[in-house]
Parts: sequence; C-alpha cells; structure tokens
Amino acid sequence: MKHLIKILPFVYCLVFITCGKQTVEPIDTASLNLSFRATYGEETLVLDNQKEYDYEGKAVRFSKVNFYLANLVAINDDGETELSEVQFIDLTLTHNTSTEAEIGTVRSFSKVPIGEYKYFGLGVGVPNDLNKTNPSDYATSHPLGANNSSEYLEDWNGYIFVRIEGEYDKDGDGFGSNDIAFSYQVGGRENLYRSVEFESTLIFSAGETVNLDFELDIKQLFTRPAGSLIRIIDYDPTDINEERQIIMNNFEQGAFQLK
Amino acid sequence: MSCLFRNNYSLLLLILVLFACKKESRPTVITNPPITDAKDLSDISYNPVAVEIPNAFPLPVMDIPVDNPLTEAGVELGRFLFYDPLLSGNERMACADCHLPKGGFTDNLAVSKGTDGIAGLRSSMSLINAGYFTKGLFWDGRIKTLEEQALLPVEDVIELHNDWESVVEKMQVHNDYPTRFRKAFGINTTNEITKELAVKAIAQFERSLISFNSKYDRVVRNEAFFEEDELTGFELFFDEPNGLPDAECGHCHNAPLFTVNQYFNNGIDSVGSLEDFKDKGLGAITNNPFDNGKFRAPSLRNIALTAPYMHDGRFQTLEEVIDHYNEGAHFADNIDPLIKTRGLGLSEQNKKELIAFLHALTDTSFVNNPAYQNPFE
Ligand code: HEC
Ligand code: HEC
Repeated sequence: MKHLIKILPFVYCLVFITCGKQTVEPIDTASLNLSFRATYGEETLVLDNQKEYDYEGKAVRFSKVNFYLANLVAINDDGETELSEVQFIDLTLTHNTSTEAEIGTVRSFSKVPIGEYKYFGLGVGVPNDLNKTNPSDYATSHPLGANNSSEYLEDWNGYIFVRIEGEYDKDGDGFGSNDIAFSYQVGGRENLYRSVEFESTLIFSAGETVNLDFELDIKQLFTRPAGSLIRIIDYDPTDINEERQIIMNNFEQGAFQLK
Repeated sequence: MSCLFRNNYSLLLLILVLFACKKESRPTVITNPPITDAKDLSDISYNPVAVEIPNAFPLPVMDIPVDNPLTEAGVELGRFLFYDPLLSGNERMACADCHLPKGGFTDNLAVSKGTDGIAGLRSSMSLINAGYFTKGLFWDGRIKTLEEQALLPVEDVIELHNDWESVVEKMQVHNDYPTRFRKAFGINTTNEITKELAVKAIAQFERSLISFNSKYDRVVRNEAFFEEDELTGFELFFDEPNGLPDAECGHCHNAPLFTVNQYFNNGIDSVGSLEDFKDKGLGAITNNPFDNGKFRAPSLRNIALTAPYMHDGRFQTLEEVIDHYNEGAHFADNIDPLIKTRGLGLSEQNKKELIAFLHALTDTSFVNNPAYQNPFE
C-alpha cells in the first residue's frame, strides 16, 4: 500500500496527460454553423464551367469563387463578441454539382459565448492590419498562409479579397480560344474592404446550435448601380478598377444576404 | 519510462491508464510478427534530441505532424533509408536514385526508370521543401502525407519493386539499423522495427530538406541585390507595374514556396475535349472531368537544376517552358484564365530576363549541404 501511495501521483499524472483532452467541462457555450451558398440570380451557381448563364444575351460560365471574411462578430448593446479573425471561404470546393451547391460551404464554431445578439457583423476582404502581412508570416495552413498564397499578390503587397473566375462567350458562337477566360481579382487596398452588418435576433443558449445561412448572388455582384452588368474582360488588374468598386459595393448592397 | 515499467506496479499502471481512456486507446506500438528472433535493444541509450527547424525566412512555419516530430536520430535514420538500395527488390536502387541532390532531388530524366529498368509514366519530382506541400503530393495530389507517400515506392513494380515484409526483415537483422531505430524511436526489441517507423524516419529526413538561401531569399532578407536582368525578370514574374507585359507566373508559382500548392491546366496539351488528356492528372483522382489535365503547379525553387520539365518531362529547357507560356498554350474548357492562349507578349529580351530570375531561385548551399548527401559514401 505504501508503494501504491508513492506512485499514485504518478498515476494521476499519467491519466491526466493521456486523457487531458477528454475531461468533460460543463457546457456553457453554444455552437454556430455558418453556411455560404452562391446563386446567379434565381439559379443555383454551379462552378467548374459546367453551367451556362445568361449575361445580357451572351453566355457566361463560372469556374472559381472564393473570398476572405474577417472580423466575424455577434453584436448586442453591450458590444461585440468576436467569433473569428479571418476565414477563407472557397466555394469552388462545394459548388461542383447543384446538390453540393445547395449545401454550400460550412464553417462551424464551437464555444460561442452564450447571449442574445441583434446583429451579425463581418468584413468582406482582409482588413488593413492583416493585409500588411504576407504568407511568410503564418503557418502553412493558416487562411493567410502559404497554402493560400494564390490569394496574395506581390505587386499589390496585399491579398485578393474576392476572386471570381470563369469564361465569357464574347463572340456568341460557343466557348473557344477566341473567348474570354476571366479572372476577376478584387482586393489589395484598404478602400475595397467592406464591413457588413446583418440584422438578426441571435440567441446563443448553452449547448444549442445556431445556423446562419448566407447567400451570395454573383449576378447582383456584377450589376452596376444603373442596372446593367459590368464588362467582362481578360485578366488585367489595372483595367477593372471601376468594376472592382462596383463588386465590393454590391456586397454591402444586397448581393450578400443572410437568409 | 523504461525504469517505470521495471517496477512491480507497471502492470497496474498500464491497466489504469488503458482503462481510464478505454474509448480512445490505440495501440501505440505496432509489432510485426516475430519473423526473426528478436534482439533486446534496451541497453542502447535513447535520448531523442529535437531538431529545431531553423528560422527559414521567407519560408513560413512548417506544419509538422504531432506524431512525428523531427529528432536528430530520426532524420539521420531517414537519410540512411533514403540512400539505401536495400529498399529495392534487387538491392540496386534507392529513393535517391530518382531524387538526387545535384538534380534538385530529381533524376533529370523525362520519366523515371525503376529498379528493373522499366520506365514509368511521369517525371520525378523535386523533394525540396516537401514538408510544406500539404495540399496533396505527387503531380496529381493523390497522397496526403510524406509518411503515406514513402510507403509506395518500395512496392511499386516500376520503382523499387519489393515488398515491405522483406525490407523489414532485412532491417531487423541488419548490423546497423536496429541501433538507429532504437535511437530514433526508442523501440526495445528488433521486432518492433516496422515499415511505419521506417517511413516516419524517411518523412523526417524529407522535412529537413529546406531551401531558403537562393539569391531571391537573400534579396528579400536585404542581404543581396538583384542584377538588372534578374530584377526585371522578378517584375515580369510577379506582374509588377513597370510598363512591361505581365508574365502571370506568380499567380501559380507564388512566393515564398514558388508554388501555391494547387492544381491547374496550364495548357500544355492540345485536346478536343476534356476526355482526351493522355494523362488525366487530378481528374483521375477526383473523377471530375473538369479536373482532367490539371496537375500540381510545382515549386520553382532550384528549377534550373531539375530539367526536363512538366509531369512528363516534355520540355528540355527553361527556354522551351517560357516559349510555351508565351505563345504555345492550348485552349480547353478548363484552361486556367491566367494562361493566355493568345500569348503573353514577352520579347526575346523579356524571356532572358525571366530566365535570369528563375536562376536566382537556385540555392547551391542547399544542394551541397553535407547533411543531405549519401551517408554511404
Ligand atoms: C523509379 C524512380 C523513383 C524512385 C525509386 C522513387 N521515386 Fe519518388 N517520385 C518518382 C516520380 C516519378 C514521382 C512523381 C510520381 C507521380 O506524380 O505519379 C515521385 C514523387 C515523389 C514524391 C512527391 C513529391 C511532391 O512534391 O509531391 C515524394 C515525396 C517522393 N517521390 C519520395 C520518394 C521516396 C521517399 C522514395 C523511396 C522510398 C522514392 N520517392 C523513390 C520517382 C521515384
Ligand atoms: C495557371 C497557373 C500557372 C501559371 C500562370 C504558370 N504556371 Fe508554370 N506550371 C503550372 C502547372 C500546373 C505546372 C505543371 C504542369 C504539368 O506538368 O502538366 C507548371 C509547370 C511549370 C514548370 C515545370 C516545373 C517542373 O518541375 O517540371 C516551370 C519551369 C514553370 N511552370 C514555369 C512557369 C513560368 C516561368 C510561368 C510564367 C511565365 C508560369 N510557369 C506560369 C501552372 C502555372
């Protein structure tokens, strides 16, 4: 027995070390699922250039849609509760078929502090302080790290906030090498970052899960204030300055909605 | 730990620990059936020394799997295994025969030949900074981790053409490996040598292959300056606004790794439809026709050393590669928008400048690092 007492602390230690992760804590937090789906007007958006959509009489198809969201917060009269500093949402991974597209890209957060909130807030893009960093500053798998270095542009010294790619049947005779493979890369600059607040009564109760479904309408994103659609041209970042402003403004003005 | 298990309470302890986490408990030691009479190794000292990954700026922090931290003895064992023809069926070929340091860890062949002299379908890949390639390995991304990858060449008939059972058997009775395995992984008997431990060691060695001393890196660290042509090449590569054409390379081969670890169709094949690619690449893995003909954009670090180029080694020189991007890209339904079928508009001078920049990605200190060379020589 004496020996047993001697080794007991050891045993506790071992049990603690091996099972530390399993200790059950009383649940006083909630969970949150955010889902992101894209549409083109009323239609579900299917990527991989599989589906043709009408672009003022000509055909367009899409291959990639991805964007950064930052500073995700729940807001009430007492202030803000931060849920995440930055997220990379790549719809390309979840919009290859219409069935998948209906589900969308989901981000789950556990340990959300309980409480009642009136707004859900987020920024589209990478806020200025983070936009001054680059992939070398992070572990490879961080949203701003080397695994997403495609989203960092050396010539901007900043990140691509929103990327939308596809093809546009410019000559109207079916897709081919005479048409336009476009890559709309928007971001890099402070004045393109957009903060959006969604009004919604959010009740996070202990042990409960709240689901928030976001929908992004790519057609609306490409719509000018006057109602017509923006030009589609080959990739050349300096030529689409005006279009970039329009795309980012549309995130605030209804193209991005909480359903 | 070993002294703990020598006392009378070891069994009690073990039961307690196992019991306490019954649901999650996994066997930690995988023991092969004793093919040979196991030898006790516990008298050999086991003092693992962690390898500190150097601050390799501008390289990022490497994500290292928690169950395979780098130790000095582990990396060293990995180096021996990597260079040892014992891994092949006829004991003639080692990993290193297709991944040679002087070839930037490739074999400089269009497609690799295995230990029986049979040619494979694809070109060997550089292992430089392989520890950072965490979005799929191989040209088509079919494998996730370096540990998983290292299991394959041994049993691949057009590579090492062997079976792990016989490799393990040879390692267990070897005059050197049992000690090395003991020092690397703390095993107690020779029959605890397994293929799982062997590939862990190889993966550790591969994660130690870090290159961050090219001229480019030194310029980024303000330790050197580009020559005029290298600087213009840099600007072309990264589309810097300098009034010259954009070469768009940086989109897919971005710093700091000079790859974005993603899969693209860069237009090297002329096909009628997406079903016509001779090698479907990523599409053969995902079964998504839109992925046919997409391959991983490889890192361009040390690219001057790894000719010939592309997954099938079709281009002999960097000049041919640039000519492809500048004027030879073929349209397909999944061609990447940053590959211009109408060409990039680079002049002869621009092409030379771009190549000068690609040469600035060569890191001779890496290639000649004694820690990476053949330990049997
Ligand atoms: C016969 C030549 C040959 C031998 C021997 C060989 N390899 Fe390779 N290696 C290749 C080829 C070819 C590829 C690309 C294959 C593909 O994409 O299908 C490759 C790819 C790899 C990759 C993937 C790199 C990346 O960036 O994705 C790793 C890692 C690797 N080999 C490690 C090894 C190890 C470890 C061994 C020994 C156990 C080994 N190879 C033996 C030819 C060889
Ligand atoms: C759209 C993405 C993309 C762009 C833009 C791009 N590449 Fe590539 N690159 C790739 C892919 C994908 C491969 C591998 C293709 C294959 O093997 O089938 C590759 C392969 C290469 C290789 C051969 C690597 C090896 O190890 O064999 C070189 C060299 C290269 N690219 C240089 C460049 C240069 C220089 C530019 C700019 C002029 C450029 N790339 C632009 C995607 C791209």
